[in-house]
Formats: sequence, C-alpha cells, structure tokens
Amino acid sequence: MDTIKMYIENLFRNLPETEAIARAKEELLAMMEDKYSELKTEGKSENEAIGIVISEFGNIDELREELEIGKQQQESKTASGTTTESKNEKSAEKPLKVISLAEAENFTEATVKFSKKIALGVFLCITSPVLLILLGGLHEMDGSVSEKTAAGFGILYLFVSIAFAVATFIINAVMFERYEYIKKEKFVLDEAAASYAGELRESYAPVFARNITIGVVMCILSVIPVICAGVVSGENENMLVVYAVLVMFAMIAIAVTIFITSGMKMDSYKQLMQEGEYSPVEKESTDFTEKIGSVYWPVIVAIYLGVSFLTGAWGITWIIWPVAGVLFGAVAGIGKIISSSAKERR
Amino acid sequence: MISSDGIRGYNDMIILYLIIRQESYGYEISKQIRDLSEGKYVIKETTLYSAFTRLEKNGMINSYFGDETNGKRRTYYKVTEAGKSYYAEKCGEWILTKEVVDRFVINV
Repeated sequence: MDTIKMYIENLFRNLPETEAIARAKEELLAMMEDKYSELKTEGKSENEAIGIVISEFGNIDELREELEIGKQQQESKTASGTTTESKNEKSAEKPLKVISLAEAENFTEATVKFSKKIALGVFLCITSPVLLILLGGLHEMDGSVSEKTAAGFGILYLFVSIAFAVATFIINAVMFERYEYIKKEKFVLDEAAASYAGELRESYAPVFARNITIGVVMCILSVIPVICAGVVSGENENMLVVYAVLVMFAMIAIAVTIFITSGMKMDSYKQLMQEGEYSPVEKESTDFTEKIGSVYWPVIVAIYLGVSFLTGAWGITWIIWPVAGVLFGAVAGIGKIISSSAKERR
Repeated sequence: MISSDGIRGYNDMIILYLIIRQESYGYEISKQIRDLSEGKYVIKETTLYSAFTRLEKNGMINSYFGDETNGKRRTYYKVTEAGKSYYAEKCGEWILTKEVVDRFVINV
C-alpha cells in the first residue's frame, strides 16, 4: 500500500499545489487503494496487486489537460454545454525531447556496463608498469633476471596492457555514443521516468558516499606498505620495497576503479535529473561558452603567431597562453552574465 | 482489449449510463465498466477521474461525500437532469455513428 502512496506522491511531486490538484490526488489514491484491496481479496499476492494497480493507472497528462484547462475555461465561459476536448496550449519554447521510462532504464543500465569497461581499461593502464617494476626489481636485487629479460617482458606487458585498454575505451565509447545527448542536450522526463530516476538518485547517494570514502582511504593507505618496507629494510636493499610498490599500485588501481564505476553511476542519475552542471541553465551557458571559445581561441593563435613571427621574440610571446587562458575565464563569465540577464528581460 | 483512442469519445456516455443506473463512487464505477464489458474494456484511473472532473465541471453530474462503514470518506457521483439529456444525445450519436461506420466494414 505504501508503494502505491509513494507512486502517487512521485507523480504529483512536480505539480503545483492547488485545491483541484489535491482533490485529484486524494481521489486517485482512493480508487487505487480500493482496487488494491479487491485484488487482494481475490487472492492476488502483494506484488501482483500493486503491479496491476500501477499498470492500469494511466497517464498523468490526461489530468493536466483537465485541471489546467479548467482554470482557463472559468475565465472565458463558453455557452455550449457539450464537452470539448480542448487542445493543450503549448508554450512558445522549442518542444523538448521527452524521455520515457524504458529509455531512462536503458541509459542507466548501459552506463553501468560502460563504466565497468572503462574502469577495466583504466585499471590496466595503471597496472601496466607492474611487470616491468617487478622484473626490474628482481634483476637489481639478486640478478635472477637478466636486464634484457626484465626490460623485454616488462615493456611488452606494458604496451599490451595499454593497447588493450585503449581498444576498450574506443570500442565502448562508440557504443555509448547514442546516449551522449542526455549529457549534452536539454530534455524532459516523463512521469514514470522522473520517479524512477529520482528514487535511484536518492537511494544511491549514501552508497556513493561510502564508495568514494573507501576509495580515498585506500589511496591514502596505499603508501603505508612502501613506508613500512622502507623502515623494515633500512639500509639493505631488498625485494620488500618492490613488493610494497606493487601493492601500492594495486590499491590505487582498485580505488580508481571504484571512483570510476561509482562516479559514472552517480553522474548518470544526475544527468537524468538534470542537476548541477547538467541543468538546462548550465547546458545553455555551456553552448554559449563554446561559441565564444570557437572565436576566441583562433584569434589568440593568430595574434601569437603574428607577433612572434614579426618580432621573433618567441621567448616572450609564449606568455600570451596563460594570459589568454585566464582571460577566457573572464570572457566566459561575462558571457554568462549577459545571457542570463537577457533571458530575464525576455 | 479496446484501444483507448477508439472509445475516447464515449467514455462520458459509458460513465453516465452507470451513474444513471445507480449513484456510485470511483472504483465501483471502474469495476462495473470492466465487469459489464467482460474484461474487454479496462478503463484507466486517470481517464476515469478526468471524465468525472469534466462531467462535473459541465454540470452533468454532482459529487457528494458518503461515509462507508469501514470509515473511508468516499466521493459519490449522481447524475443531473442536464446529464440525462446529454446521455440521451450521446446514445443517439453512437447509434448513428455505428450505422454509418458499419457500411464500411467487411465482416471477415
């Protein structure tokens, strides 16, 4: 029963709080609860009953038409008594893409898979030098491995790991491209998708915090083996330090894997909810900043090359780059202020 | 199962029929629609509530609160005179529509 209450709460969350809407909420809840009770007495299980009630609920947009149009009709009463299905007045803004529950689910599942692949790639990159370190250490310490063997196998492993990692990045990035629009473009979620995304976002927040904490702690603790090995070994050079370094690499690699998988998961929820940097407002200013950038940087390059060739003072003219970088921050900031005040005036 | 598009114009008529027959409340009306159609039409809660709101706004039905024995406060609906004549109108419209459309139907 609470599931049903929560379902309705979510659907009505973003609607204005008027008397008509509150009444609608109460009545719809009552109808759903009556249906639920009857299904239970018919012998359906809890899950079955809830599932049936929710699937037969319908679309909240039907109500929108009734309740919003109702306000308009009160102002301009028509003489006819017949019911007219008035069309919803669309606002003057561009129609936004609507994302359904299915699409949102696909997105989150694809993100999870994608993040794991990327994490694997990064793990390989981070651990790519380990064989080299290990064999190099063995060679240095007790000569059990020749220099050529150490270098050969170590470097071989390094390159193979990195190649594999890069291949993973490329293949998966291409497969994930179809979801880029969620990050870049503005959109609207339908009700089912909105309540789905909202719940995931909230339930994942504590898990996310916990995971990041674990990762950070691992990074901090990763140096302890090396310190201990150094202390224990003292003046003697032995394999302990090498092993400690390998352990450090492993811990860091694992921590980064956690950052990547948890971070991307959380990011995907934020993107669906259009929070923070993914909010429509931010997306607009990002567009604007990119436009400014596309003019700004070529101009800077032209100035740099022009002055440098004319004066030959390459040793000084490089200064233009850090200056231009900081200045761009100012230009972009001004651009944001102008565009947001222009919007307010509209 | 009937598509909601096909039946949209006649939801009001169906609901009025039941309310004219007997004053009733939300879920009971939904249940009667399902039972009388032998499961072929299951009306959505949102569709039903929108229809109630619309019919009441246009003066076809009135709502009142009744107390059930298990303590729940239920909204009951009853028909008005305007509602009855609107119902009759819609019945006539359907009979005409059915007759016209039937001329274009091939019974396979």
